[in-house]
Amino acid sequence: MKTTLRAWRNPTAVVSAGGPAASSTTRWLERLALPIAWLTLVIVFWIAMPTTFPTMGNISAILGSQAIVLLLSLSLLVPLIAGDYDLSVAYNMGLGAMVLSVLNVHHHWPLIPAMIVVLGCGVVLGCVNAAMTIIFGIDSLIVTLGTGTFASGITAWISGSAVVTGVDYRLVEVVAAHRFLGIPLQFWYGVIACILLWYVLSRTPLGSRLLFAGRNRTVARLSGIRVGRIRTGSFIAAGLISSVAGIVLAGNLDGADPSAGPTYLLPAFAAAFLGATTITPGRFNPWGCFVAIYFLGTGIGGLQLLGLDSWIQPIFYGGALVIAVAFSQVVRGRQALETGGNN
Amino acid sequence: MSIHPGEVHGLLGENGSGKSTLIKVLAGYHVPDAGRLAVDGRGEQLPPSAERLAGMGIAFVHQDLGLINSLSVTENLWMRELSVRKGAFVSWSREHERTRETLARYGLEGVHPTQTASTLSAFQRAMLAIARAIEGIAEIAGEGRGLLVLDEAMAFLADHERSYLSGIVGDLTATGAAVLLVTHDLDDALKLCDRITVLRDGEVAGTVAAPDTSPQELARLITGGLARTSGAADRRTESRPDRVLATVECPGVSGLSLRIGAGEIVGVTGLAGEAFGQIPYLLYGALPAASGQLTLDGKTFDVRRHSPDKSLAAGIVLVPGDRQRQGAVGSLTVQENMLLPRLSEFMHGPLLSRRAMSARGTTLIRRYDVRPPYGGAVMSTLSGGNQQKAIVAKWLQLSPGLLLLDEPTIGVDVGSRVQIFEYIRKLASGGTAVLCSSVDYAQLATLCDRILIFSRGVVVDELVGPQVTKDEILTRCLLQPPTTT
Repeated sequence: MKTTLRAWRNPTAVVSAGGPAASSTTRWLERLALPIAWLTLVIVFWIAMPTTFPTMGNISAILGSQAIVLLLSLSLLVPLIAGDYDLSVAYNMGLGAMVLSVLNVHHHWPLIPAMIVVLGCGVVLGCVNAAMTIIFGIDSLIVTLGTGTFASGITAWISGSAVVTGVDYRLVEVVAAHRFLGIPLQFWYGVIACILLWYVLSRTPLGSRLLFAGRNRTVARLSGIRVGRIRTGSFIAAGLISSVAGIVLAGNLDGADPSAGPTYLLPAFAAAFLGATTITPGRFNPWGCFVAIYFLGTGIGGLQLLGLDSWIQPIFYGGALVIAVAFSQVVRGRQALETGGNN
Repeated sequence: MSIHPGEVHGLLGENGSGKSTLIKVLAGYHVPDAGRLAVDGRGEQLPPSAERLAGMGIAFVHQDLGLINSLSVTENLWMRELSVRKGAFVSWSREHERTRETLARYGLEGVHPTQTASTLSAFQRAMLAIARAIEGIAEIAGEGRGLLVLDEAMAFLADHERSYLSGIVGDLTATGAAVLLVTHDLDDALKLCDRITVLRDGEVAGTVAAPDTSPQELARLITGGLARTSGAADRRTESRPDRVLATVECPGVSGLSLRIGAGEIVGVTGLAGEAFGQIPYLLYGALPAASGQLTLDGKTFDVRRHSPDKSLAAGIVLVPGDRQRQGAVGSLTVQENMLLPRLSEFMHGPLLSRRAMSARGTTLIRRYDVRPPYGGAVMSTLSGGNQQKAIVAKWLQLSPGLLLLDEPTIGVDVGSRVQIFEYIRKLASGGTAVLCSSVDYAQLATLCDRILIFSRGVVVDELVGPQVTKDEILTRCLLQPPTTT
């Protein structure tokens, strides 16, 4: 019974190891490869820079600065599991930060109503994405590229293409200035989002339905799952979570920069795909996402501390995305090979 | 076998007798173990290349016709020619004109050259594919050579459309070209062919001249003559109260009406290419029906507004025929696949109880003998038979009122097949009404209490009790009374 349970949580490893009798060490190694790599990275930097790296300031900077990418990456995760790409999340995040700043700074709206409007933007964008992909059957990649670019145009329009600063300082406080255990609150928002998403995805029937809808729409439909409804929900969830990321972004920048959103798109994708190679390999999962982001964030932070310029950032993220996708392709290829051998 | 110039030669045989394999060898798709092909007295290499086939004047029209739906009639018609033609400029106005002239010769005056192939009727599509094939070999056919292979290309045509097609075939053979007609339909074969070759179990069972034979004689050649009785042992024939009443109508299925008693297993079948395979999907709401009603235990549903989730809620369950694409997700585990339809039962407070799920998974795996007996195994690593047992477990655990099956044991080993039949019978003995569509007559003979035989969209025959044998089903399928559609 115990082995059954363990293997069920870790299906891809069973495949790679060839069955129930295979060594559990291999399985654990595959699951924990990325966390171990992260830990190694931390130790290397610690030894290389014993005075600058392991300071509270540096650690909380690394942890805090990655919260936006984490939230954005989690927003991507939901449609990815349901089998759709959503490129519009980064643009929606930029739009959300701008709407909040414009309403708060230019129109003197209080924070709460402005935030509600921002969340509403995310829901509307999610609905549009869902309608276009599901009703008209258009590829989600094309739809969300279009709606995302549209959103970036709106962002530039409402801001007059200028940076807006000076939002209510209370927002800056609850996002970046206030700390819990020495780490900015935004890090904890990311952790809470991870826990919530993990709960929904792996501990409710909804999570399984999402997974089946993404893996095979016909099987899902014939199993009584309303695939259209599930996909619509996943786009709306992506819109909502990326709007939250937009609010956090506004708190970080003390306002909004019309060009800020899109730069986060690639890191978010890289983290989602790299995260799918760990914890539960072969599946997009929030804790994998978390580990991937802090692995990449630590690497970039450490190297910049060593004196490397900011060009290291695109090299790291771009490289990670390609390697992660290649890695998951290898896992999948191996799976297909074993299928062929068995039938 | 030999085919003479100017002859229409029929090729008949039951499913799996080797017709398609032979055609695929001829088309260069399969490499034969041994064999010889001679055209006009000259030996040819097997498998032939596409260029060589064109050079010999051999053209194929397969059942799926090979049209590209999103392209225009002109593009479809001259596809091959356009792809090899030299020169930098295509004059579309000239091509369309040429298309119009060609279409007129095939009775397709109503078709516009710029129409996309998806907008054509079944008959127009078949004619377009045939026109393309004949035009492709026209030059060679003019010299009294060439061969047109029609591989089940007429399966969905109505009677008057078939007779039009026979005119086209007659025109072609008048020039000296030959036609090889692969079909299931004895009437077509007798009407169109000069000689008929029958295949059985991969060998030629005989070649007969069409005027000298009868449908009965052909059926005898196809089945092998001997009435092989199969396990029709304890067929239950006593009358049972009706549990399910259903009517369905859609393209390919006209005015079907059926009744299934409590605990009765009813098979629907016919020759390959008929639409009876859609019936389970129509009743489940997985395919759109034009109209229809389904009554289960006195509750009536509108089949048009049906959907799989509503069917499930009503106690109607479908085991689909295509394991890989419809039955299960190969990259997920056996347990995840099996428990999918009843996940909400495992909610323990706000959380899914992994322990309860694992216990249920283990129970199901044991009860349905899925091997390896291990819920964490990835579905695609199991053998076909075990995958099917897991899929059967997934649906049978729901104890449905109506169980719909489509080819329940396709690609399944003999042992698992026997087990699956056992599970289905056991469920039926509890009162579940079962409907099974299949072209595997041996399977139907073993499993079913009653068989409905389907031809050109309607039920034409019914077998009950001791009549339900493999050979009786095949014979009735082949000898259906002519229908007027």
